[in-house]
Amino acid sequence: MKSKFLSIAVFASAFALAASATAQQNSSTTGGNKYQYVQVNRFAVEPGLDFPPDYQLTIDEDLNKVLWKIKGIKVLREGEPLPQSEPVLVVTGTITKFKKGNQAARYLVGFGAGATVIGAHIKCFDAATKEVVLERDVDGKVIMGMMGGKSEGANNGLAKEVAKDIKEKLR
Amino acid sequence: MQAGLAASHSRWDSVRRLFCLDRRSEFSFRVKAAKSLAIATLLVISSFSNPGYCVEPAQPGLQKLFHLVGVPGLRRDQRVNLAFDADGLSFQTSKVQYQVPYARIRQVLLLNSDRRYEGRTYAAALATYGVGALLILKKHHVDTVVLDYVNERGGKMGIVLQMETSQGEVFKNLMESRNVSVEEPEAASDISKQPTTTNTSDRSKQ
Repeated sequence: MKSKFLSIAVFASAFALAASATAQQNSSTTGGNKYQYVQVNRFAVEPGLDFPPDYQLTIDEDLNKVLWKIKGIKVLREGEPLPQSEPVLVVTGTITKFKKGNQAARYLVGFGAGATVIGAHIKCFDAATKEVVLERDVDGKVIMGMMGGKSEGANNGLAKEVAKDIKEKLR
Repeated sequence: MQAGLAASHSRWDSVRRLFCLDRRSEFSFRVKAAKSLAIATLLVISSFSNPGYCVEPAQPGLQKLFHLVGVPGLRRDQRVNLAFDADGLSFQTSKVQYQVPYARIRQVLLLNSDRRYEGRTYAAALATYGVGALLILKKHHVDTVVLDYVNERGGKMGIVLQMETSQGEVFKNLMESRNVSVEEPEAASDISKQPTTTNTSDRSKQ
């Protein structure tokens, strides 16, 4: 009976410790972040690059969707008025590389054949001071997937990579 | 047997006598009855077919479009119905209803693209021990609609849909009937040529 109580007490204390550690980690992620607001501007396309407009819009929508999932960040669209008293991180980007790929080749051949690749150069800066906070080359690829994977998945991959970089920078 | 026949004959005669007096009047009765029956039928049909009295006029729309991105709460490749309401486009599924007012639409592009028969390919591959996977080579031509609009705060938003080529033509006509122009770029679109402003905030302009 005594050992039973002892084990319950140990388990409860371990659970409480873990919960407090998680809460502390969460507070450090959101509380330590200087930027509570992120404005995502629609990505430009490098001159001469034939990039479909539906892909361009999809990157914007996917990036907004992914950034919304990050706790402690409020996402603003391009053109929305910014809060006056809060620092805002502006995310801009230029599509620098696009390889359309082929779903049939991905599915039937494999080994990297028919891969869809989208490359972009992103720049994140403070809206007020214009200080560049993050500048990086990112890419989204579809090499394989269910029935070869949809080419549009490259947009989502790129958006996820951008969001990951921003999240790491804001931590 | 004969007695029964005679009884039925006399009954029929009495009915004839009730409605008509002689052969001439019988003919005139038939014509009148046919006329009144035809008029009654026409009245009944017209009352059912008149939408003002019976059913609400259905909004024009397009069924089972492929949603790629943009409508909140919808997944990629989920089917969505599009209704052309009086004041805006209405995207509808059993769970989601989302409206974009015509006044907030900035640009609409109609592009030619294609989809692959993924579901059919998967089924064919399963059914034919892999040979059916060659169906992935078959493409299906569709129209892609890129809808560029702003939200209530002026933020840029977008919706991408795919539809059958016949539906694309209907979409274009319906949009133009509501004074929203639809562009059909040849290769590169106007959006991709637009310089994206890096500084759009009110504060940054100060």
